[in-house]
Amino acid sequence: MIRKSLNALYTASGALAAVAVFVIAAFTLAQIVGRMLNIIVPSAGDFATFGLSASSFLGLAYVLRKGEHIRVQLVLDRLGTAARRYVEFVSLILATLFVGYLAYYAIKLLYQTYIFGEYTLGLVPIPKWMPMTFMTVGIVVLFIALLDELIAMIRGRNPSYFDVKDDHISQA
Amino acid sequence: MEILSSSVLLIVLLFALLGGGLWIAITLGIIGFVALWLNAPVEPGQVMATIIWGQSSSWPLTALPMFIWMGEILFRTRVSEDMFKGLAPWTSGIPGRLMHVNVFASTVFAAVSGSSTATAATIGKISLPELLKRGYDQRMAYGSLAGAGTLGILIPPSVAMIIYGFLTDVSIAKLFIAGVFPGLLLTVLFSGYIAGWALLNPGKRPTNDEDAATSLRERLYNSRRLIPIVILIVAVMGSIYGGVAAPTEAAVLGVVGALVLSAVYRSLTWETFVASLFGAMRTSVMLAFILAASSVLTVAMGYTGLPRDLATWIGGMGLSQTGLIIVLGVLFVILGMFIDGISILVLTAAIIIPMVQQAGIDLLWFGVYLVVVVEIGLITPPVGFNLFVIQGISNKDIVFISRGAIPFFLLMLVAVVLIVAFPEIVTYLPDQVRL
Repeated sequence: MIRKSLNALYTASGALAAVAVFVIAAFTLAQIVGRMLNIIVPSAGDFATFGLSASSFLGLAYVLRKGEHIRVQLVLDRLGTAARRYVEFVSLILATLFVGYLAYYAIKLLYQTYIFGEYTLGLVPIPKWMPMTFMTVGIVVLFIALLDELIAMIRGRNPSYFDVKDDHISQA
Repeated sequence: MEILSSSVLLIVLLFALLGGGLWIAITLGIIGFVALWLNAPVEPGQVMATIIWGQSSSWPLTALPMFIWMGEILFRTRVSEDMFKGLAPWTSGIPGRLMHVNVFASTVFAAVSGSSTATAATIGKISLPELLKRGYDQRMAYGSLAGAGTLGILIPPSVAMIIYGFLTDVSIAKLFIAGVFPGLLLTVLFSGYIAGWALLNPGKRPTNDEDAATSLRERLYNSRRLIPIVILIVAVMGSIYGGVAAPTEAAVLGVVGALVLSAVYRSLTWETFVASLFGAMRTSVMLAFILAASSVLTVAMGYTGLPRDLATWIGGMGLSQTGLIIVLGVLFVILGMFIDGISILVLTAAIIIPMVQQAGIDLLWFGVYLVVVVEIGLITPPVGFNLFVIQGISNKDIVFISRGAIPFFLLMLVAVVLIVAFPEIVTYLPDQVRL
């Protein structure tokens, strides 16, 4: 039950991130077409940019579980199974602590922005806390995903990002 | 003295965390945290959250997911098959014949793709089986694909250049155009080597390659298959240099064009559309994460005063510009054996860029130089992403593939030397364009 809802959380947040990539394209295209027709599409650039930040953060946990966040595996690959598990465990604890710390301050920043009630400067004034929510949610979901992996390791299982067999070729 | 001890601490910590397999983005974040904590009279978490938010909403950076998405769509069409069939007849008169298709097709595809791994994968999935079926020398087939595939990030568009532009505030459009001549230079070097190799090794001629010589008419007729991709290149690059579109807008036009192409090829389904969108999201999230962390590191480094001191120190050494360029080049090639290129850019930018600026080196030229050096890292073992990609599509041992790539590694070093000796190769074209 918990397993299922956690997986659903990662998938949903990944799917939202993919939708956000589409949003960037949609608003940018609207801007191009609008310019050809001499129509100003209000704040299209702002919305495209918010699409970028929403997708960047909402996808974090999904990409973690696909094993696609870059790391150096050169040393790990040369360790024995037991030693590798130990090193990976320490790294995972550090990552969880760091992201948890960041999540705390992301929530705090969101709260302050909400209280100050700042708006963007475009044609359509948008309260800044709205796009910022995606960042905060994305970091919090990443923290949950890391905790999830940590618990898996404590229970003697492998984290999901170990040796992922996946045919996606990262375009970098 | 305090700066020295704290920088030694940071460097030791960096290598320990990286070696322990911690994600590069989180490693950079932790280093940034420690540097802020030691040097800044502020709460590190507060600063980090603010910086990460500020950099994540950057307009020029929206070009990144768009170019990646375009590549993801094209990867799922039969465009690579068409490029093979359109280009192959033209190679029959050149020594080395179809092997040149690896180089020419990579060059053409690089003009719509911002990524070297995607270029190697897209071209390789058609050309490798064809070359091996016809009995071409395996080592050369793999090596030339590995080498030519790296052109993806040098010939515009380029993910690496967008990131460099983001890190240094150099115009992305100018970086793009500056990559054109160095890219063509590498194409000529690679093809020239293949032809020379074929002439010197007549014994290794393909055993089963009986393509009858085709008439000019037939060649031209076959080339019709290249028309869609050429239109796409002209639309994307033309709109930037015609002054019609910003890089992001050009990329979105590319996405639309790629979708149309995909529909014409009948490979556009709901499944491929969603798969391409998720693929683009995954790569751009991965990149955005390390970029966010690198912004934290850059600000944190500013507080330590380390980049400024290092720049002054290098300045005091009386190293010539060329001397500095060579030292950095050697450093990057060595780093490139162990870390992927984008991470190197991001890891070192905070320190290197102030140093390069202090030495009076043109940041536009330096960007292209860096991209070529980073390309070299793609084919040097043990960590070379193009080697991994080719290993993935061929199931061939990585040692074998990297041995095949050695001549192409050397040719890229030749290109680096030429770019240093004749900087005009890089700067001529951007100087001609008003942007």
